[in-house]
Amino acid sequence: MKKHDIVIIADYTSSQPLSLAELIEITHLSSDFIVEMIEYGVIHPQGGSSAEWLFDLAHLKRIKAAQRLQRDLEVNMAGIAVVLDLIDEMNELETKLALLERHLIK
Amino acid sequence: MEYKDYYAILGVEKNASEDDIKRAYRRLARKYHPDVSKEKNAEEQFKNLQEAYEVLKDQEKRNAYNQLGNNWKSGQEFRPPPDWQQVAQFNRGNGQSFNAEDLGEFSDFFANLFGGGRAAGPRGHARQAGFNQRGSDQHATLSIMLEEAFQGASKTFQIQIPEVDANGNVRATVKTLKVTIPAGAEPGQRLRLAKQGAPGMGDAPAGDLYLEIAIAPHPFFSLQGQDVYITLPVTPWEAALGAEIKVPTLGGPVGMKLAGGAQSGQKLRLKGRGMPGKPHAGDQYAILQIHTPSAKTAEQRQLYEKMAETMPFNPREDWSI
Repeated sequence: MKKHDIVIIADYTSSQPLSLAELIEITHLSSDFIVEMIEYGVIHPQGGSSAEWLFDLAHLKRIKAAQRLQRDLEVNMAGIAVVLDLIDEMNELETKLALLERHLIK
Repeated sequence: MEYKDYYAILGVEKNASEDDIKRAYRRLARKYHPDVSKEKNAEEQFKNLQEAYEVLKDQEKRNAYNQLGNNWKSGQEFRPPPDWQQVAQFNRGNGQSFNAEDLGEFSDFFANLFGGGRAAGPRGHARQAGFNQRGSDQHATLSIMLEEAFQGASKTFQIQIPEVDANGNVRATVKTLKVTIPAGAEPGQRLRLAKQGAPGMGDAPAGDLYLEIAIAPHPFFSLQGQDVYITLPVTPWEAALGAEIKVPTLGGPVGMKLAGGAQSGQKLRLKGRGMPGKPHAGDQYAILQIHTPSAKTAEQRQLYEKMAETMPFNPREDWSI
């Protein structure tokens, strides 16, 4: 094992959004899949036309989850939209429940 | 390497039909899919499941696997039989439905029997000369304190990035990560560092490195979005009469005026005392909890009895019993 000679600089304040082309390169998905995700309201990138679209890493996370759901569970886009919304809702409720359990219920 | 009982993983009999196998896979895939599952080790279980299905859904792979015999137990130390290579080679000639990225996730057991995989070694089929494969993406969680998320911080982490050498052996390279975390960082906030993941093979580029912030639990504070919550314990007389109370916030203690007649569960807001952010900072909420001291001496008992006498009060008057 090498000594700690390699330094990676990571600056959260300089995080850049991704263009559609970059997103396709990262995910190996077709632009059709991503356009479909936008049409079904699963993600809402900034920008009006596809050339102007900007995606952040929260979008990327959602896109990768959609990709897995389609590949592993054969869910179609309408189903993916429902599943991802329900997962968000469930996570929100879980955070809220944990909060109440901690601060209200003793 | 350890033997894997693919039939047991899918919960099917050795003579299960293709349909049985497909049904079992679909049922378990729903149960263990990491995106939807709340099961423990869902990710690992799901990988095993995919691997088992990859073998058993393919009649040729399944036949080859069956040839290993019935005497193996799950987890038992396993070496492929000497004549295995031919079977595997023959088998690989027929359409593979998995992609290279999936293969990287499969076990050594799978890799040795069917090729590919992360530790295929010099005999592994995936490492032929001229083979190009993009390095895998790496994910690291940066665990920080709530105070660091509030103030922002520069932190140094050590991370291990796997590298495959010319002989197909996997080694970890330790790298130093210097991270600038902005004030108001949120749990789950991600950062992508292009081409800082595992190096590619051949001429292919390296994978990416994804960082995700995790905020360690705080002894008093909880985070909900940009708002911060704290339990505020008060005495019955503070709740009844009102009080000036010093409350800790992430930005330092703040004096808070508690009006008389307060009740347990009441939420008091300290505006703008939550996490910093745009367009404005979150709030802090103090949730009131009245703590009642137990009467330990005769005098203390009398005090409570006096209260009962002079303050007729029935919190259960809504119940007509």
